[in-house]
Amino acid sequence: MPTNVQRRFLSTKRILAITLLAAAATACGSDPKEKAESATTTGSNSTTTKGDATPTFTGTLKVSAIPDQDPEKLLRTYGRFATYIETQVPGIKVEYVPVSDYQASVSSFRTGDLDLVWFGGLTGVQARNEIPGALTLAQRDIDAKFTSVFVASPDAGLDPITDVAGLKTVGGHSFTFGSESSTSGRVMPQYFLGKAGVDVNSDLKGKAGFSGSHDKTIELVTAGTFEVGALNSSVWDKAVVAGTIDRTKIVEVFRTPTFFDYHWLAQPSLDAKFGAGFTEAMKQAILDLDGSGDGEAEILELFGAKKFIPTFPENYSQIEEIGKEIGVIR
Amino acid sequence: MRSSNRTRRRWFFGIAAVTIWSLSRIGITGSHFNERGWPNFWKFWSAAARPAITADFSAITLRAAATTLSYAVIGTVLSTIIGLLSAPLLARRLWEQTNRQSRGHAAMRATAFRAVRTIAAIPRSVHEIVWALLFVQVFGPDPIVAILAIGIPFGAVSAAVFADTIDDAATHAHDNLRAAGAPRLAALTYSIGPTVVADITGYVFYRFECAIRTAAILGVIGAGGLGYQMQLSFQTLRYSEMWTLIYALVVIAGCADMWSSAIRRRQSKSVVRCGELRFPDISRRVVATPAIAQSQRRFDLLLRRSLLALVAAVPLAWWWIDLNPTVLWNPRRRSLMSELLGDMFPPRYGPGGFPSLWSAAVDTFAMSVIAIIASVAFGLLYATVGMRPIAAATPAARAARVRNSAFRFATRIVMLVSRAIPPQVWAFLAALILFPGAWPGIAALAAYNTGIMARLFGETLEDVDPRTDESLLAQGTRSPARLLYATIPAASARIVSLSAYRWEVIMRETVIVGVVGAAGLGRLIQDDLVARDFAAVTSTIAALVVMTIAASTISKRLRHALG
Repeated sequence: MPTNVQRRFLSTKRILAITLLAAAATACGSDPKEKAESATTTGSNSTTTKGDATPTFTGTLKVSAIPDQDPEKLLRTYGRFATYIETQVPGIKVEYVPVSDYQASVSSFRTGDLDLVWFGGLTGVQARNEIPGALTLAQRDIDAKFTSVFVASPDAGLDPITDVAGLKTVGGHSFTFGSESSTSGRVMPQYFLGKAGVDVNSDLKGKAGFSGSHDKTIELVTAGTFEVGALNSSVWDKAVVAGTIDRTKIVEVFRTPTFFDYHWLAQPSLDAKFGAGFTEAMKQAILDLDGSGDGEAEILELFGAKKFIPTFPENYSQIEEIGKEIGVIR
Repeated sequence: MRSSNRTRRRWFFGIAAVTIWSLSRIGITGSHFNERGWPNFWKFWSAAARPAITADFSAITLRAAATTLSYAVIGTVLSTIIGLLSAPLLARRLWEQTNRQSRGHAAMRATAFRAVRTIAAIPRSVHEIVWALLFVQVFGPDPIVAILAIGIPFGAVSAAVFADTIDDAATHAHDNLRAAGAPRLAALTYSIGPTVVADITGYVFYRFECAIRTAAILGVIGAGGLGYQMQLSFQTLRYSEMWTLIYALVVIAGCADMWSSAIRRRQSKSVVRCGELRFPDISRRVVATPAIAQSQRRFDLLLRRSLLALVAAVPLAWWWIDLNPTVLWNPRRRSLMSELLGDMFPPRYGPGGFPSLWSAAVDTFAMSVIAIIASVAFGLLYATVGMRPIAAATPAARAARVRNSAFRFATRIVMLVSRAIPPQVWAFLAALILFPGAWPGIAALAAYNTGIMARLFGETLEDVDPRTDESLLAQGTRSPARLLYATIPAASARIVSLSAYRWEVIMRETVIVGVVGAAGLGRLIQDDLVARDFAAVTSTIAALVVMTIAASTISKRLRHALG
């Protein structure tokens, strides 16, 4: 029987309370200076300002993320992330706001109900189109060279595919994407399929399905509901390492060329809201995540990354082009 | 008024032809079936026997149920207020000419009346979920979204129904007041107001019953409540949890069904008119005998208590969902609203232009036809099976009655479950065994609406005058034959009228199953929203509005011809 931790905590009030408690515990348990030292001893080259910031900021930062995975996993990841930010950016409270689907995260960013969102490539572009001054703060090391994987059930009779043109063999099989707004679960796979000459509207067995999330794509292909699926390679790799997939029922058949994907996007007005220099302090805190301090390694592991690196809007112009090509950006 | 056999035959063949055309449009071949999906599908149904009942999850379910109920309560109250305020404007009586006026003036009035009625039809042609998706762009994830999404379209429906009630109500007092020189509105309020209060209350509770189902549907867009929890559980394919939530919805919706039935049954014998109600026929309001007077008193008491309960629930619900209506006039939200309107207007076609809008509209039409035919057929089947039998006159009949009662009960539960599962959850289930396309959407709409039709048909059949049936029974006629020759013919007019109304509703609902239906306007609106192309959303909504209003016109003519 699965646990229901995520629901019990889904009330934002509770999340806040727990986050605060955890923050207090962390604050008691570790001296920030110690942390900075350990950062230098591990040979990190980050120009860390950990522990040096003065608490000049006030307010509650609302953080969210596109719901690309099991809500329970998201809650764990962003709960830890919130705690970390609170210790790094003094005076700030961080609240993780779960959303129901990819588009809801864009809508809530548009309305200003979310301050900082972990967007995918496509949703990030969409959000910046609606809030033109929004700032791309950081991405994971893996996001600069992100890939999608095509997975299949072994009895689909699909041979391993070696290049994009080889995706031609996906034609004639039943197929599912993840969310309709997912970069690695829909946009890029559809683009590469198109390059191989597979029209997802006419060349598959039935029409392409939209499972809603990467985890669910794994489940539906494992269950045999769809013969082939495409998803985020990071989610897939983590599942492979964790041993949660049944290799007799689902196998990787192809890994796509790389593209830019996930990134943190901030509202342009955060300095005015939380205090001068806030956005920069926030960005620095994210870039400082290197596994050296308490709990940092776990956060990075939850994100499936070794560190965060800066990113820039022009990194996503390819996604924007492709988005226009397949009609998800108009 | 009985229609001629010829007219009826013409309608019958017309409907048959349209159904066949619809089937060929969507296409029936085995290739729509995804036989590999059965294991997962079966897993869902077998989980029905073992819902998740841990302390944790029960608490989650209870809280979610409270949220869904709260949305339904406040949404219903808002829709009633909107309905009451705008009903007088939609009443024919307000627009009627008086003797003094010239012919030109009268024509102008008639045109204005038609125009107002048509404009008032627009908000109710747009499905609640579309309202919600638009309001989310302005208010973000706020409970006000669910309240407005229920209140506005329901308010528009209520207004139209209340207006009909006003028009149907006794006229003498009104005419006398008008003759005495009272202004229009005052005459309406004072003469007709008191007589329609009971009818309106009955309708409000029917609306409340619908609002619970709608609140669950809206949950899926992130508004919280049972629908939202169902979505979360479905995201991770936790079927046992889904069943806990479904059972909670079954209990709530079941109680609301019984409550609103009780109110309507006591109110009058002639009740149902559609998904919308037929109010007590004035002509059938019988001369008061002591027994009737007593039942009337009991009814008044029930009515008064029900109203009181609903009103008392408002502050509680308000507190529970933490409703804050000040966001409505918050300057930032207002500027977001005008931004959204700026994005939506002027409307333009999506990438496929008019041809793709047209083809989607034709698909939607075909989907709605197949779904309504299936819902009516299955609904009728289940209603007759689950029907309360007439008084058992013979020992044999009595024995049969006992034998059947368990079966009947089971049938009723199945129907209750089928209308408690929100259509989009049905859609996802259907998508496990049917390839994405029009069919999973049709299957979902048919499954959901079968449950609703079974309920409405059941009420109708039980309302039929039992005398013919009894006399056939006395002659030893078997029960299927009695149904076929006595009960169903007697209720046929109402069955046709309920079905025709439901068709309109299904037309609107095609938008909910757009997620899995790779066909129709629902799919198109989904694509538009994913691309955040609100100008295209507007054109798709407009197409849906036009189709719903057209369906409404056709269904009116059908009811007229066969009713």
